Amino acid sequence: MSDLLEAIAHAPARSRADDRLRLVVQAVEDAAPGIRSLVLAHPEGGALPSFLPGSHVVVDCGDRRNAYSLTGPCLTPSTWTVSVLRKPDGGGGSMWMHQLKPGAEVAVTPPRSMFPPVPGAHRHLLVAGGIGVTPILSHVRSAAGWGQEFQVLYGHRPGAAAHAEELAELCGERLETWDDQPGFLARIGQALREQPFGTHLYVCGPPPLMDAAVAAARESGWPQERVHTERFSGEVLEPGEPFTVRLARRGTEIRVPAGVSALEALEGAGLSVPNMCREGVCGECRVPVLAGRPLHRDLFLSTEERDAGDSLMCCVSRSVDAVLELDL
Amino acid sequence: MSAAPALDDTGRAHLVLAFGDAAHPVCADWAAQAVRLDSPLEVHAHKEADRSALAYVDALLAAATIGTRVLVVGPARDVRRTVARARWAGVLPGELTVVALQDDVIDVFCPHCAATTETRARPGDTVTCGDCRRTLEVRDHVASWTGTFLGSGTDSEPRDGAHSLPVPTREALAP
Repeated sequence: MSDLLEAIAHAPARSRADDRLRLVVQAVEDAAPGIRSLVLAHPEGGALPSFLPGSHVVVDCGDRRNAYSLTGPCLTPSTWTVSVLRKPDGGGGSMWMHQLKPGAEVAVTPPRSMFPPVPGAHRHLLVAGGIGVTPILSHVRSAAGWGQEFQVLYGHRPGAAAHAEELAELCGERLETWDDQPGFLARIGQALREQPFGTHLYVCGPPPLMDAAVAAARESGWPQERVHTERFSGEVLEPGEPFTVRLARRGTEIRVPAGVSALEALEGAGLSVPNMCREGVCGECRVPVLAGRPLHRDLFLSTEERDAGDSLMCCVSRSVDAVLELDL
Repeated sequence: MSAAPALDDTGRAHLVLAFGDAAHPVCADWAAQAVRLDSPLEVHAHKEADRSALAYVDALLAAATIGTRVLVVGPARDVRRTVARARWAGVLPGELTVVALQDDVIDVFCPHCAATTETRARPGDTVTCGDCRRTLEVRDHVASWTGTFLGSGTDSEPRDGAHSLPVPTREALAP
């Protein structure tokens, strides 16, 4: 077992769990029915790290770790704000967040950027669905502040429009809100056919909305490079294809059937791999890859780290090739 | 066998910017492909990519919407100029198809006076800047934002005061 721990300690990049900041809840406010905004600050006050629009942090929520987009100003923040949708039948993280009171302590990772505005874009078309408005809000704040061209389409359930007032103030006529899904989807399709060259599309919302928007963009002839999505945890992943992991240090192979994660298969074979969220968010279960191409499905690795192909989050990611060799 | 590259069938519409007589067969081929794909295609043909044609191209690109694919055909010089305009308009490489027909006319950028000289030359040749009259060696380097080849001063050229200023050493530049 010690060599397994050593392998993980020497994995290509460290776990970011070590970088966590201890923050306190400064204020709590209901952004909409079932959606609570939490303002986080240093216990002693002072500046927090800046971040790119669309960034998120991972918060320790009891025994879970959840990713939340930062909605506040990003350049010189003294507080970070997250908005949490209450999911009574979720993993429990949102319920934990909802019971926090001002003064409570939380452990939060530094911001991670996986949904940034494209530098050099002439215009931003921002599409938000429900709680997916949170990263879009920070995009809007930045685009408005820099005087960039943008347009926001925001769909939400009737009476549950989080951050609607703030958005309206920032956007003026550049904001359209919809509380009926057919109307919202039709408007997205129409807007996609009206955008000048140089526009980039950003979508964040529930998986059906994201899939519909991405499909509509494809049908309208948008190249993939212009389409940017922020997918959140809680999404049900496909069971995936079966594959085999070869453990280079042990000289053994373990079969990973469809619908079973590599992490579960490793645990089933008696290995213990450090893990926490088990949904590709926290970065704890990162394992080094020696051969074979990982099929990344996590929310943790950066694009560069994904492209390097030398590690994967074994809780959700799988393999492109039939065999994936791990340094375990 | 097709004379022109295939139209991108993921595009919603196609905008062809054509220059010179030699571009006609390629335009005709693209038009035939568009009919087969049942995908709208517009051809805008000009004699050459001069100032007024490029102003027209700018207006077309500004009015075009995403989903359109841009196709450029003509002498290489005209194609380079037009691709530069497309780049400024925000067209991505994946939205652009070019067919550069043989041509030895190029645009050379003079870094001394910032003028661009249209001339018959190849990289490695020396040319005279049409504005400041300096002798420039044509570098094998095209700036995609302007579509021009880079010229640089030759040794035979008279040196001015700027050349006697001290040059920083590599050590001085190290962080």
